[in-house]
Amino acid sequence: MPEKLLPKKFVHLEVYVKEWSITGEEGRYLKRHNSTLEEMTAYYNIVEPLLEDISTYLDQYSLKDLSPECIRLLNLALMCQECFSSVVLFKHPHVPNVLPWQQFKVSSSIIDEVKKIPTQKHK
Amino acid sequence: MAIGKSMHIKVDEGDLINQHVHYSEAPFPDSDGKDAPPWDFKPVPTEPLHSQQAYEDERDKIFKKRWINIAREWEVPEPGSYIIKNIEVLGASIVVTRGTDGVIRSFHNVCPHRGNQLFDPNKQPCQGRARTVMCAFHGWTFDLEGKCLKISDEGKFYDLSKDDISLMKIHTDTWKGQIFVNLAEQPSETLEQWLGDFGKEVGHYDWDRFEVAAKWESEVNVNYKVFIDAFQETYHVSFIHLSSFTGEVEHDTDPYFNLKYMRFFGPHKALAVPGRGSPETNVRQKVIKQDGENVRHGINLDRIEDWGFDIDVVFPNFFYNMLNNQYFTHNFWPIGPNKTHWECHLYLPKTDKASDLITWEREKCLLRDAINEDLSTNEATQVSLNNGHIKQIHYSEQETALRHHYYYMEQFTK
Repeated sequence: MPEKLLPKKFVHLEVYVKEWSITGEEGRYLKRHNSTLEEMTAYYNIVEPLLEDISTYLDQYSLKDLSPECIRLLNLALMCQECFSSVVLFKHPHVPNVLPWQQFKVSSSIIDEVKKIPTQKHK
Repeated sequence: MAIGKSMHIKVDEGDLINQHVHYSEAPFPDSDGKDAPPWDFKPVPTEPLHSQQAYEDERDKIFKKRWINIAREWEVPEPGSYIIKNIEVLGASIVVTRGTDGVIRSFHNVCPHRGNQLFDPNKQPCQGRARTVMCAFHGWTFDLEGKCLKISDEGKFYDLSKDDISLMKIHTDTWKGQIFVNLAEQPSETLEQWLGDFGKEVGHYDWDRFEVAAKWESEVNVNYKVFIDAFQETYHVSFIHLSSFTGEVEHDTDPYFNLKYMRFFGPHKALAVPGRGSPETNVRQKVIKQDGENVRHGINLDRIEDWGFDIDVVFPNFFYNMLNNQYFTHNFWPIGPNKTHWECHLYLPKTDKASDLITWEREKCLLRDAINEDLSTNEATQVSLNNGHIKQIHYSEQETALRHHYYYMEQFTK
């Protein structure tokens, strides 16, 4: 039986998991800067209306007890927030008029270890 | 210039640490009269912003003589933890450890035998846990309290035993979870004395409510002073942050987003940034209410109504940005006169709820984007300074914090 990617209530979001469910801020930052505005806008418009439902669902559990399906769902929500300023504020895939984005380094690994949230490799 | 309120507590001229200047109720006054600060208001020469000599003076007389923040307690969380910090301006590779006794210490990452690097990044991780460390050159072994446990073939040495030698210790102290070192042979003051009244005021913050949530860094071709200048004034907000934080600016009444107060505690400072809250960005800067439970200590020191956050600076290069629901720190590391390594750590309230992570992620990413905007002018500015196109800078009243840094840089490098 294939592994469930997401909790049953959000099965309709499973098509987005492979590309957008990313563990760690670093990976999400890279995804944002390797996506077009159109791609991010389409993703954001699907997930943003569901953020409250996702939050309510996940709050049934302690962070440290999240199942792999729940971690994937959390990462979908976090990726949606990563897209917010590009889609809503800047209307531009990157922060306009700044140094090359590769010069700005985002570190996830130390933070995730300190916070001890179960991690999941991006598929 | 219109007159606001200010106060200057004058102490002995030679006592650089305890001079207090307090400007409240902007607009702030100028240099005349009994409340005049120790600095003047003339244009400031730009030579220290690009010269090799100025870099060397600051390196030798400030960075290597004063208390400098290099690490955090959460980076060495348990007995046996260590982390290596290689800091060019200190001329040192430093091992920060938490001993089995729980005490945080730091040492030069150098074997006292013949100077080999003890923790070699090619052989060991630069952060981890260990009970001992062995020099790869000749096997000398030390514990994390710095004690020598073994000198290989000890009997062949002349009047030397392992009890006579130890790792080279660096003066180390902690303040509110931050680890400071002082490379002077004998520091001229303790860390507590160095932080002085700044430490007493800001120290009341409820630090234990927070945990680290993000780390960002960059290497930028800019003098560290040019870099920090972008972070200690709000004059730029309406322009640089036009897309990210324009909702915060009251364009009719306060289009230049003036600081609400400036407090200078010797070389350190606390500056108040206004804040109203922008629905588009979901940034909420709640008013500090003086009704007991809602009072947050260590921030909004003047208890003003439209307070957003405090910019607190520990001279020369360590910044806190303090809000009531988060704080973040900046370290600006000079790598020569024209290059800086910058790192930022964001701290958010401890939580066990996914909904908090989701809510805060938007603000966190927006903050990161806004800081990226702050970096945007650095390299172009440095090119102009290096080429000598601009010989002096006129700082406005709203840029007094920049002038303050320049003043103390001069005083400490005399």
